[in-house]
Amino acid sequence: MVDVRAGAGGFHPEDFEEEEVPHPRSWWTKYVFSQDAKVVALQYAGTAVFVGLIALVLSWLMRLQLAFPGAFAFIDADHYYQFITMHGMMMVVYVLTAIFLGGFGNYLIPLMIGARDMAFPFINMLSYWTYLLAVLVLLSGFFLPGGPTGAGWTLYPPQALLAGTPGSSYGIVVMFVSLVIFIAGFTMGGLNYVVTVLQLRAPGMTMMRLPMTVWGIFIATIMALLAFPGLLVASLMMLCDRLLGASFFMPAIVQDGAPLANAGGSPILYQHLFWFFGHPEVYIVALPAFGIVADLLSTHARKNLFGYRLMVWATIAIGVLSFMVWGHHMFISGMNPIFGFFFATSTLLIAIPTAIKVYNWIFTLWRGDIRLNPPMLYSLGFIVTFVVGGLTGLFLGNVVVDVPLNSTLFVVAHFHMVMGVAPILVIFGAISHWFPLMSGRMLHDGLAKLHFWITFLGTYFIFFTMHYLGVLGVPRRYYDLGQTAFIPPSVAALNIAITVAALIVGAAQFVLIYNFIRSWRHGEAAKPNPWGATTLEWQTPEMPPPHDNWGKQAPTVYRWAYDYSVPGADRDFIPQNQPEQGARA
Amino acid sequence: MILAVAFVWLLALGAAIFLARQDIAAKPWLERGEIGGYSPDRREPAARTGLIFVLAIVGVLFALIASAFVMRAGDADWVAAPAPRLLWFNTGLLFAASFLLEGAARASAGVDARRADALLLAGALASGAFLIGQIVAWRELAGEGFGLGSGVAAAFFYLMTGLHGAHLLGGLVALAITFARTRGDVVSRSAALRFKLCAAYWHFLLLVWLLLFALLQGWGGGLVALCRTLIRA
Ligand code: HEM
Ligand SMILES: [Cu+2]
Repeated sequence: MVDVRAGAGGFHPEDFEEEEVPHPRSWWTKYVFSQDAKVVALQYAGTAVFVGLIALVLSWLMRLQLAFPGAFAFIDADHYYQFITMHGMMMVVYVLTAIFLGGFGNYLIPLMIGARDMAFPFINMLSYWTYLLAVLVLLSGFFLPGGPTGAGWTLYPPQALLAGTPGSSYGIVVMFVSLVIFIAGFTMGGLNYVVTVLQLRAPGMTMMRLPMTVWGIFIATIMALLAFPGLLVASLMMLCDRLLGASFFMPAIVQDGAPLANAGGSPILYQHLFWFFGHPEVYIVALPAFGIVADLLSTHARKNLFGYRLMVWATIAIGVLSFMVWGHHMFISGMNPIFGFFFATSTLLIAIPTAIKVYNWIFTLWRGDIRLNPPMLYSLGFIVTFVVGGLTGLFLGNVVVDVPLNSTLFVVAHFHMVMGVAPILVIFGAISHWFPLMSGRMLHDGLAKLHFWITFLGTYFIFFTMHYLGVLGVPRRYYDLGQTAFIPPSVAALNIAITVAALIVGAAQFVLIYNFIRSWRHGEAAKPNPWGATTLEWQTPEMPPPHDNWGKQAPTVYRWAYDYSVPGADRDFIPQNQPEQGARA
Repeated sequence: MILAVAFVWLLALGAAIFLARQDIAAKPWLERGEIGGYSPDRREPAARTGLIFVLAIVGVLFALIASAFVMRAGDADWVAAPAPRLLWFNTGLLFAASFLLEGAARASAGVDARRADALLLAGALASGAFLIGQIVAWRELAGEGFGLGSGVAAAFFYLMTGLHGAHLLGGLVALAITFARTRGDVVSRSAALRFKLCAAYWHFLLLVWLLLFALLQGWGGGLVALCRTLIRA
């Protein structure tokens, strides 16, 4: 999947003596150890997709066990927990974070702001290779004695370290080491994205002229840079506890009649550190998706983005607020009611900017010239999924309702809708939107639509019906329901249906992959700026853009990113780098 | 976690000041044409901006550790680890390193390359001595029976000093690169900037160390008590 030919477009060193973009000298430095942000982006995305496929297969295995308990001998309870843990951690950190920031961030930031490359290209390259190392270390857990950890993706102590939890000998160590490496790698990349946005924007590209995609990635990156230290500290302390006999988190425990060596640790401390990272992480995934969707909607509805300024403010507000709410994951851990009130209020406050965004997307569509091509379909699918997920979130945010629903499949259904399916639909939309830019060819329209409909309807079926299981009281993280009086037999039937849907949806992803590879080679050649978009990445002299993006002349920006259907203009869009004189016929 | 939250608020304040200067109340849909005042500037401010973010990240990291320390300190089972006397001497060394690097930065800005190089080397040596001193302090503490596994307080001592040392070590690598790239360079503005950024990083690590040092000496007691009443109230 790591097809790196995007950087292969004509490369004319003589075109840019004044610029110091490092010239690749060999095949290796051009495609493998490349410092071109576009190549790094495809490397990041390709690796993330690979991890995503593993996580997808793990979800199949879990679904098979839930539908046909015990029918597959190799899925025993330990394996089930290892699958859950790896699936969750991979999807959240190694797939979504990596693909939005490492993939789309690298590809789009320099192009959209009119820069030739990242601020520190070498560090950028290093960031990818560190990420790859983290992935390899993570995967090594599958091959070590005892297998990967099965502690659940939150990795709570003390049980994560106790014998009896699968993978407590090696798997857990490998997991934390991999996280530490991931954070180091991400920090290098993240510094690049932030500094590039702040320092390398083209002349005239003020902050308030940035497309929402860049705003989303920019704020999400800052959040990630500041939130990951929480996970880093937690990981290091866990490693000290596990390997060096310290007791940061491990309380005194008697196991099998004998006291363990640890004493005096505080498991609650871990929860604080973890959720200091964990809650912002939700928005680290969501904000880039929000930004990208705003741009796709505006472009494919040929209308300016409704309330751009409010969108920017909402993005910033979400960024700040999400550092104030982590305690809502710990309401039951016994905190001072004053803090409980603080966390509950700040959590409710976050709903305001989020709702603003939803309304603005919808107003953007209102009376637009909507083109139902794949990027638009995925974006509409995103809105529908996100709104449903948000509504079920209202149930869970209500303490009285949350008590019976907590730890049921209702929760699993809810978070898969908001932070699983919704962002992934945006990723698909973004791929279909920017594919012509990356490859110079169009994706096959019919295959893309087929993939959309199977994925959208399929995931909807999986997770919408799963709410119903949750209401019936089916618990989450259960390997086997066994003989449980309150669970009616219909649950088994629905579980089978959900699993069949999950298998179909999973298989449908290969339609996209096939389409991607086929179109990259044989797709219909794309004409320049095929969607008629205003943003700078489509105004490059060549498609795909050369290593230095702009050839001789880097662009100057004269307008914001959303001049669609401007009255009196000769086309229904005016690119950001078009001066006022040329815009009218 | 109060310290960490306070630090994040501080950063948010900084961000707010920055954003206020970015004219985020602009109405970009009305303002077409060239906007004066902004034109990109490659490498140099990029390095400075980068350092500001590095400091913010390192700051959050230590704020979180300090928060964790404060949350745990004073629990019933908390047995304070004695802070070795050597730490005072080490603190002096770090002060010296900071001063020397500041001198190097000024010499470099004043286009005195030789003096700058010499001061830079001296600063690096002082920092190296600090790191060795910290390791000696570790051994002293472990020798007195306060190993990593002996209790939470000792574990915090090793974690805090260790992470701080690791960041100083990273700084030394940056210093070495600076030295290699700018040796004898008296003309370029970029040499002076590199020196200045190194010095700034050292001042920041000194500040962090002073706060950690205070906590490890048990001077944070008032703060600990305050936080605890807030949590338990
Ligand atoms: C069609 C795609 C997917 C299917 C069929 C699926 C299925 C599952 C299943 C069966 C579980 C375990 C539920 C339980 O027994 O408690 C699970 C857990 C989880 N999934 Fe997915 N999933 C999918 C995609 C995703 C995506 C895209 C994400 C990214 C956010 C994600 C994140 C998680 C997390 C965080 C957990 C919780 C792990 C834990 O409890 O420790 N999943 N998923
Ligand atoms: Cu949360």
